[in-house]
Amino acid sequence: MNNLSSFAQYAVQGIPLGCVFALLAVGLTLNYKTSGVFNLAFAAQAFASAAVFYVLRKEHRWNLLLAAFVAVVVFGVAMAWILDTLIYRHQRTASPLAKLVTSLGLLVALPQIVLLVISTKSKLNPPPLWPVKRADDFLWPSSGKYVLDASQIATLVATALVVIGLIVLFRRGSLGLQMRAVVESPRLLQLQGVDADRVSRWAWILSSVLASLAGVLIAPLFAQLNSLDFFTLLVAAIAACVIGNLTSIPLAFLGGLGLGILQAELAGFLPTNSVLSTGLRPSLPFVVLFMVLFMRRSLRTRTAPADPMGGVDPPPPAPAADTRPQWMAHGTHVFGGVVIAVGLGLCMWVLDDYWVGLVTAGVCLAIVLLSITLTTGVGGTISLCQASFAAVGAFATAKFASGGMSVIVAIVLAALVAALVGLLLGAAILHLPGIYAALATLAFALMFQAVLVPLDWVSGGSVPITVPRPLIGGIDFASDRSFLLLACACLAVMGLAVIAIRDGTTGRFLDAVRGSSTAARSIGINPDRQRLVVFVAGAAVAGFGGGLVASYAEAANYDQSFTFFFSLVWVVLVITAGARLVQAAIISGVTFFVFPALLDKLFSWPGNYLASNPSTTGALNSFLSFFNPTWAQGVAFILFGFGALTYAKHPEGIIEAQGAVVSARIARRFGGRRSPTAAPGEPPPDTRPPDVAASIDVVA
Amino acid sequence: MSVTDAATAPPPSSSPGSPLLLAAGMGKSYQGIAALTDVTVSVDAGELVALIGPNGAGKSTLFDCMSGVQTPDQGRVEFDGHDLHGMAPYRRARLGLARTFQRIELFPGLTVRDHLLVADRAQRHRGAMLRDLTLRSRPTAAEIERCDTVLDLLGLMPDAERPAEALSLGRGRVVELARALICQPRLLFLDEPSSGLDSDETDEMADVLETVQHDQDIAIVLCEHDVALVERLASRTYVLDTGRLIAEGPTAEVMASPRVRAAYLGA
Repeated sequence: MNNLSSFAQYAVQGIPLGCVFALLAVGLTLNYKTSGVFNLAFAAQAFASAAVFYVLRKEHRWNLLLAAFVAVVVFGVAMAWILDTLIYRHQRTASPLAKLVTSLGLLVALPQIVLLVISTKSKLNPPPLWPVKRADDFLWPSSGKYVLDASQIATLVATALVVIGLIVLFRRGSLGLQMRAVVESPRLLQLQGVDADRVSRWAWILSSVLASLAGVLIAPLFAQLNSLDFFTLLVAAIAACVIGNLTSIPLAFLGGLGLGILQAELAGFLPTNSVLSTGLRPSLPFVVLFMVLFMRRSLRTRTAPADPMGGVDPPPPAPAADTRPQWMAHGTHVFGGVVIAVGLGLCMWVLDDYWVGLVTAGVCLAIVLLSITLTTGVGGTISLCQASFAAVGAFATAKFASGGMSVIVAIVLAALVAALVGLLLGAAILHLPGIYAALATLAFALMFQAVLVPLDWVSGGSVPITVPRPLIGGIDFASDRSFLLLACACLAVMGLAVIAIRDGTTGRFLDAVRGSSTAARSIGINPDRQRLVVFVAGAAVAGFGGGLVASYAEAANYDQSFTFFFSLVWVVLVITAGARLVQAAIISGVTFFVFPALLDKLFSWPGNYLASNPSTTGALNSFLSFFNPTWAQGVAFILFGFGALTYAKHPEGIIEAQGAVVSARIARRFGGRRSPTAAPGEPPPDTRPPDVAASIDVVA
Repeated sequence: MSVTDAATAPPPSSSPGSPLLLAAGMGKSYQGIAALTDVTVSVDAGELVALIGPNGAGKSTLFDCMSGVQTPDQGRVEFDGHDLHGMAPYRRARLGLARTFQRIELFPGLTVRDHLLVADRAQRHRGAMLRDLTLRSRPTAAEIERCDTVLDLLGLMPDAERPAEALSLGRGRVVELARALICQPRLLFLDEPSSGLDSDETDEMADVLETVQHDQDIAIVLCEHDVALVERLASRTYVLDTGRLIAEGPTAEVMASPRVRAAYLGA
C-alpha cells in the first residue's frame, strides 16, 4: 500500500515534466505533419522566444501578459513569416533530406543570432509564465503532498489546451486537411485551386507559435537560458514523437506524458547513488527513443511520401568532375597540389605558432570529417554521432597509450575499437529509413554523453586522460609543425582510402542503392550490408581522427572537442561544402578552426585601432567601438548554419556547384568550346536526347 | 553468354520434371482487402509464361510476393528446389531470379554501362571494400566484355555512356532488361515491359525477349496488358481477376475462353 501510494505520488510529480515532453512532442509532430520537415530547429525557435520573454520580462520589466503575448504570438508569427519567406517557401518541393539539413543549419545559426542581438551575458533564472511572485507559491492539492508549482500548472494547462485545439483543427477544419495535403504535393494542391503558399505559411505560423509557447513555458526548468538544454530536451521529446509515428498528436501527447511519469518513477524508486540512477535516469528518454526506433518493425518499411508531381523536376546536373574536359581535370589537380604545397610552406616557414596550431587542429579534425564523407556522402546515412565515434577513438587512444603502448599504434587500435562500436550501432539501426536512422544516431550520441562519458574509467572523469605526442622510429612529433606533417600524411592516406571506396565497387553499389533500393535488391545487392560497411569504416576513420585530435591536444578532452553538438555542426559544414568530396572535408576541418580566428582578428581590429589611436573621436569612434571580438565564434556558427541553406539548391555542395560554374567559364575562355557542364539554371546538355522518338533505335 | 554459370549458380536441387518456379496457394490482403487468394503458378525452365488480368487483379502483388519485395500472408514459393520463404530479395536475385519493374527503377547518376557493371559485380563480388582499398576495383576485361555482349544484344551500345536520367522511357525499359540479363538469371520476371512504349518499340522489345528466351534458355514470366504481345510470346497464360486465378493453360485456349473474354477482354 505504501509502495502504491509512493507510486502515485511519483506519477503526479512526473506529470509536469511529462507535459513538457508532450508539448514539445506535439509541436514537433504538428510541424512534421504540416510541413514535412522534421524540424530540429524547433528547439532553436523555442530558445529564441524564451530569450525574448526573458529580456522583456526580466530586464525591461514588462507586464507579464504583454511580454508573453509579444514573445509567443508576435515574435512567433514574425519568426515564422521571416523563415517562411526567406527559406521554407523555396523548399516546398525539396527532398526530406534537404529539409532536414536546413533545420540542422537553423539549429546551429538561430541561437547564435539571438545571442548576438540580446547580448551573450548569462540569463539566469528564467521567469515563469504564471502570475505569481515565486515559482513555488502555488501548491496543489493543498495538503502539499503532491506538489506542483506555478510553471508546472501553466505547462499542464497550456499542453491540454494545445492538444485539444489541434485535435479539433485536424478533425473538423478544412485548413488541417489542406496542411496535410500541402506536405504530400504542394503542386497538386495548387492545381486544385488552393494557395499552397498560404496554407504552408499558416502551418509554419502555427508551429512557430507552438515552439514559442513551449520555449517560454519550459525555460524556468533551467537555472540559466542555454540553447543546448532546449535541444537536449527536444531530443528527449522526440521519443514521444516516434511513439506517435511522427504523425499522431494524441499518441505523441500520451507518449510524452508517459515518459515524464516513467522518469519520475525511476527517480523515486532507484537508489540515489546507484549506477542505474546516475546513468539511466538522465538518459532515459534517449534510451526509450533508441529502443522504440530499434524495436518498432513498422518503421523499417516506412518510406517518405513521394510527390506525385515530382516528375516535373528537372534532372540534377551532372557532377562537374564528370563533365570537365581532360585538360581541365589535370589543371584542377595541379591547382589543388599547388594550394596544398603553398599552405604547407606557409605553415612551415611563414606563419606563427598560433596559426600553425589552428591549421594542425583543422587537419586532425579533417580526418574526423572524412568519416562524414564516407557515412553520409558515400553511404547516404545522416549520422549525428560522428563526434561520439571520435571520442571513442580519443578515449581508447588515451587508455592504450597510458598502458605504455606507442601512440600511433594506440590510435590505430582505437580506430578498431570505434569500428566495433560502429558495427554494433550500425547493425541495430541501419535498417531504418533516413530520418529515423539519423534520430537513432542522435539518441546514441546523447546516451553516450549521459551514461559513458561521466564514467572515470572511460574519460578520466573531471580530469581528462593525457595522451602523449607520437614518437615514430626516433622521430619526435612533439612540436606543432612536425605534428602537422604527420597529420597531413595521415589525412592523405585516409583521403585516398575514402576516394578508393567512393569510386570503387562499394561506392557504385551505394550509388545504386541511393538511386533505387528496390532495384538494387533485385540485382543481388544487400543495401543494409553496404550501408553498414561504410558506416563501420566511417566510425573507424572518426576514431582514428579522434585519437589524433587527442594526441595533438595531449588529452582526450570530451567537453572541448567531442560533445554531441559538434557532430551537428560538422555534418552541416561537410554537407554544405560537398558530402562526397574529400576536399570538402579538408576545407571544412581547417575552416572550423581558422575561420573563427580570422573573424576574431577582424572584430578585434577596431578595438586595437582605438587603443593605439586614443585621439579618434566622433562617428569613427562610435563605429569602431561597435565591434566586439566576442562575436567571432557566434558569427562563424551563423555563417556555418546559413551555409546549410544552400543544400536544397545545391545538394552536391557548394564546392561542386562553384566548380561547375568556374569550369564553364574557363572552358569558354580558354577551351574554345562550350563546357559540357551546364550553367546554373540550365538543363545539363547531353542529358536529354533532342528528340525522344528519334532515340528509340534500340534492338537489332 | 550461358544461362547458368556453373561457377556461381547454386546446384539445382529440384528433381527432374519439377517446375523451376512454384508459387503455391499464394494469399495476400491489405487491411482486409484481398489482393491475392489461393493463387498457384508454376513455370518450367526455359518457358515463357504470361500473367494477365485487368488493373487491380493482383498481378504486381503476385510478382512482388514471388520476388520477395512483399511477404505473402499464405502460400509458399519454391525456386529450383529452394524454399524462398522469408528470403530477402537480394538473396533470391543471387539464386537466379531477376526482374524489371512496372514503374521504371533505374539508378540516376549512373551511366547505362555502369548499370550493367554494378549488376554484374553484385553477382560475384563479396568483400568489395577490401578490393577497393587494395585498388583492385577497376573493371576487368572480362567484365567489360560481358557488359558489351549484353549492350550489343539489346542495341544499347550508342547509349552506353549516357546517364540513366537522360534516357527515354522506352530506352529505360531496355536498360532495365539489360541489367536483369547480365545477372545471368534462370528466371526473369517482366512487369509490363511494353507499358509506355509505342508499337514499334513493343515489337523490338518482343524480338529481344524471343532472342534471349531461345538463345539463353531463360524462363520468363511476363506480366502484360498487351494481348497481342502475350499471344506472340507466351506458350502458357495465367489469368487473374480480383486476386483469383480464373484461367490457365495454353495461351490460345485461354484467350478463347468466354470467362476470360468477359473478365478481361470485355467481350
